[in-house]
Amino acid sequence: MKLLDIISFGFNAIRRKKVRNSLAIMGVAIGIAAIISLSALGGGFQDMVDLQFQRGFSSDTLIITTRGIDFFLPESDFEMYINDTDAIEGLEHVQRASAQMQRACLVEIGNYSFQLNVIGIDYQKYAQLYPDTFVAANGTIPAVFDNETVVIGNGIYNPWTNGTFTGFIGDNLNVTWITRNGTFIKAKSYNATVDAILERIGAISIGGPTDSSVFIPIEQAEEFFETSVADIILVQLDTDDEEIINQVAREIELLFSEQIQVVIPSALLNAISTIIVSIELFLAAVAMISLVVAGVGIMNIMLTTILERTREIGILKSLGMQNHAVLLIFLAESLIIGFLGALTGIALGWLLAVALGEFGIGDFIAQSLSGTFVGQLVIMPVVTTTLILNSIAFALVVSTIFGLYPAWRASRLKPVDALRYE
Amino acid sequence: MDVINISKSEQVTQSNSANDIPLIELENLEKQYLMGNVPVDALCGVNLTVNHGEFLAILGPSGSGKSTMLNLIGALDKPSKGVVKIDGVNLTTLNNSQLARIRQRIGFVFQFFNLIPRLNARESVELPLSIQGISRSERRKKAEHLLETVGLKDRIEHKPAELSGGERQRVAIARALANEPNFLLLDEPTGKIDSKTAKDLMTLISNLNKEEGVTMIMITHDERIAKYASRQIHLLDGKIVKEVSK
Ligand SMILES: Nc1ncnc2c1ncn2[C@@H]1O[C@H](COP(=O)(O)OP(=O)(O)OP(=O)(O)O)[C@@H](O)[C@H]1O
Ligand SMILES: [Mg+2]
Repeated sequence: MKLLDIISFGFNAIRRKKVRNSLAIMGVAIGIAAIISLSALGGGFQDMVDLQFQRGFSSDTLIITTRGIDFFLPESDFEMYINDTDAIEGLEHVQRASAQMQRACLVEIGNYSFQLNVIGIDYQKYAQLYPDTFVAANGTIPAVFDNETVVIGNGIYNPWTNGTFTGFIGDNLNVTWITRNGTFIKAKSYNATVDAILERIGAISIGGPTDSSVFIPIEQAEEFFETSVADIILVQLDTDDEEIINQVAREIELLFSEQIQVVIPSALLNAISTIIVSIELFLAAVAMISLVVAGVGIMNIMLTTILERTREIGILKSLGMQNHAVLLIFLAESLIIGFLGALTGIALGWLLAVALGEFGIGDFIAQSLSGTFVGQLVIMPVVTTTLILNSIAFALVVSTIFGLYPAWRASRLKPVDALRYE
Repeated sequence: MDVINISKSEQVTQSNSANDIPLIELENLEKQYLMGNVPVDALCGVNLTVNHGEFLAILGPSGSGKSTMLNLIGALDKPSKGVVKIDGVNLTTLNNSQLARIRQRIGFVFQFFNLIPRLNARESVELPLSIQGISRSERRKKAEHLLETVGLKDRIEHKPAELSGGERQRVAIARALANEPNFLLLDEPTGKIDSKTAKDLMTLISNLNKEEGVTMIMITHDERIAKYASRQIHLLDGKIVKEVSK
């Protein structure tokens, strides 16, 4: 029997049992959709992390913080001061240290107001620390200290990326900070002038600038927030040699009697990647299991089909069909189910990945990882031809494995017994 | 029409085989089924020779072994003992694949039609041709021609459920003829259709035998149906007990 005739015979049979076979097809489709959407989002996320590695991220920096990232140790109330940078800059291999202070403030620009992180930094040092991302797209980052100056992230200027701008260079920006004075709640505010709008950064940022930050000079922050306590200190080394970075990190810890945490961004990013890889592995395992379940479904359906069509098998054999052709007929039916399941699954998975990407899975991941709002972050799902072909191949392998036994049983039926079957 | 006993019939078949290989030869054919652990003798030493162009009717009460015998001739089952030869080829020496190829040269017609419900008349008749790997256009042409021969020109696209019993059996006959078989094996072809339709069907079968020279081996309960045959054998408890030739 010709292969094409075998396939069309199987297809014809499948069409007669629409509900049952659709369910089996959906079973495969769900597994494949899971694989496609996971891989697509995982690939997109990986791309984003890679982008992060390429830009807006310096492999030669350290971040010093007093806030523990370890949930289990008691929080220390140790404080760092802005001028601690002098001591750090005295260490070998340290090029510069820059203190940073940040408060959540109400920021009004034009007719809009947002709750945002206002970050006090030394513009010069910060620009040297993040030469790729702390770059003005419009205006210029002022070189001389000025109380009234402010630099804003691109996300504040263009929050919806649809051409509606909140304000322009030279516009007023009002910062309001709510604090307590004893039992009283007091709102402080001041007016600043937008001197620079940063280029769009896009990706998540570890330590570096983000699209939704407002930057004011550290001196102004010190005065306005009424403190000299630094939230973090950024340290740039003259090398990205891992051993030296670790050694300097240790020296800094000792400098503060181990009351502070030194975060090595590259290590953190690696840790995030590792977490993502293990999440992906876990989900891939779930997808595998769902495909095995789908395979068992195919097997179940094929066994039922063969029982129902026992007489037909007898007829085919009485017409001189060879055993291997009988096997191929029923195997073809499983493969058709698997193939249609794969196609449906690819379409579903793709839609799902795009939908999750559009509706903010990126924001969600970024927020949970960084603990702050980091602006819009769209993960572009990556569906490659290889991914599609692999999914199809995988579905076909699953349907072969689970379709083989029923088909083999069909092929082994004795013609008389099959014909006699009621 | 004269009645002859078994020994006489053997003499006749032997004299026939001297110059020409008979189409079918059964030698001491035995078939035993196991009902659980109890052996049931369905055939106990059947000897029979069928020549090319014959129309043989097999009669006998229910359970006498008629279907068992037909299935053995059709290579659908294997004997417990004895030999089935088709055109001189001993079936017991063949493997499954060779037996399948033998079946391609045999046309089966069953009491319950045994049509595949989802296939229409044309597709049913095309099926054996498709199994032999014949091209789509060729088998379509042939199937339509055969359906015309059996008088179903207007029912080509009908599924079994949309056909009467007689029409279904005609489809089955057309399907059985598709492979240009050496012979047709018919197991109570009129068993499930009314007597008027049965008569038409028998005229068709009889014409195929007379005009096309197709050898017919037909099981029937009905003496009137058996009259269309040129030779009758009667089975009882797995043995041929009577043979009648026209
Ligand atoms: N698969 C089987 N297993 C056990 N016994 C069987 C089997 N097939 C047939 N038999 C037995 O063998 C005997 C002959 O059966 P067979 O079907 O050949 O009879 P038959 O002459 O065709 O009868 P009918 O006219 O009712 O079709 C019967 O006693 C039957 O019960
Ligand atoms: Mg019978």
